[in-house]
Amino acid sequence: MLNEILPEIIYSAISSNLNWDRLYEIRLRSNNPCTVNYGGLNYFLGAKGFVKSENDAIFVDLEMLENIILKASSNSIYAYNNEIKQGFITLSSGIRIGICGEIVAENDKIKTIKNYSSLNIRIAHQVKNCSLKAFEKLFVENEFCNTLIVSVPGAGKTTFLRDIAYQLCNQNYPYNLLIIDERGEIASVYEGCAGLDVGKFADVISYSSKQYGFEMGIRAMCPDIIFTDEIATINDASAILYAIGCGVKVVATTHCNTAKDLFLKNSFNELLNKKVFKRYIVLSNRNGPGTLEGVFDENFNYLT
Amino acid sequence: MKIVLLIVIVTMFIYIGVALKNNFKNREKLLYEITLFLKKLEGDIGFLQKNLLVIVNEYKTDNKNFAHILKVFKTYLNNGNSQELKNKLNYCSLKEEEKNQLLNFFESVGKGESTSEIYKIKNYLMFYEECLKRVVEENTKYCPLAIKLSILISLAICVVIA
Repeated sequence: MLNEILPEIIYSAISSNLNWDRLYEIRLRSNNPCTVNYGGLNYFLGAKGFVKSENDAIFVDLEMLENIILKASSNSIYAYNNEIKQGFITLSSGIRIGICGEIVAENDKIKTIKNYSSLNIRIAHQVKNCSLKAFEKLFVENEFCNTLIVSVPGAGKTTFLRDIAYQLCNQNYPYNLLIIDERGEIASVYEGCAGLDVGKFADVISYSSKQYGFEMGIRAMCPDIIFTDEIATINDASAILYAIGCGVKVVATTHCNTAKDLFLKNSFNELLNKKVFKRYIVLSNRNGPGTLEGVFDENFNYLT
Repeated sequence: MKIVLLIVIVTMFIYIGVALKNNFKNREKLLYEITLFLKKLEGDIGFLQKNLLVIVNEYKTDNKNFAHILKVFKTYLNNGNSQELKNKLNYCSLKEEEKNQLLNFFESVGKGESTSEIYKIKNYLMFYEECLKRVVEENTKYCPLAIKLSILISLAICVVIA
């Protein structure tokens, strides 16, 4: 897929010199050198791989960024504009292109983004069994617990979330799963098929807001557990409370350094006070993305 | 011998007349196809927001000229090189301004959000509907005239030779 959207010079620099499995991000900034996040560290990318000097790195210009977005949208920006307005485009196999540029607004509503200034191409990695160590702690008396995965950006929250869904299906737990994939990163559904393995008992609603996805999903699919990514706003928290009120379990992720730092977020007040989440999984980048710092219970007691 | 020559001259001029008429008609058919395609684009982009390539693949036409133009447009969508598109349009039966507008349209379509795309498509549709209207009027006048004139000229030449 990336060979179809990346300029030849960048694609060949990566494919002939780097290992795709260790490539997490390609950052392209207009009138700046191209950088990549490789195995958790950032490097300048030159035509023959990593370079020490920015002068030897591949130079990115506005035209390059525009061509990438045009190709990523199959020459149909209008068809992807709802995503572009939110600042990203998701491709098949979970590749997400984050977009920065000039916001075009009318009557306080964002119409689109133009004159792209930066792109961040994030490459999703499916790491099967990465959640196994924490998985067994997510049950109390054989019942699955509401779980929140907590980490700083880029520490493997989504990969972990996807693997929990995969484990539940793979180990034949009697649960119907519903994945509310707001940004298309969890299952990466493309033309009706999930690009990443989320398990055989999982249904996926893509590109829907959490509020709509939770309400519609519960009515339509009658799930036992809902999976969703990046809880941030009070509306997201309300959607979770609604689901739990309906008797549906929830596994979610959020950006935070430690579980206790959640108290700094206003949107989490109600969720924390009501002790909605019975398990907190904390991840970090300490030994590379996906480092398990611990599983905690609702009182933030360390379990593993 | 003379009779053979006269028959050849008459046939040749009638052939030229028919070719002229066909050329006029081809332009009319091509303009008609362009307006149909623009109407499909308007609906599919405005309502269904389908990808351009999907819309082009779905569009069925009996007009060989337009089918070939769309084929070249698909290649352009895949590789981004408009040279082949320019070459193809150079040999079609449209007038220079109509060719340029079509090339501009193909090069710019799909690069904006849906409201501006629809606005753009409507403008091009208006332009081509106007062209089509003019061509239909011209063809009603000049198509029968082309054949009549070619027959008359060939007969006049025959009289002079005879």
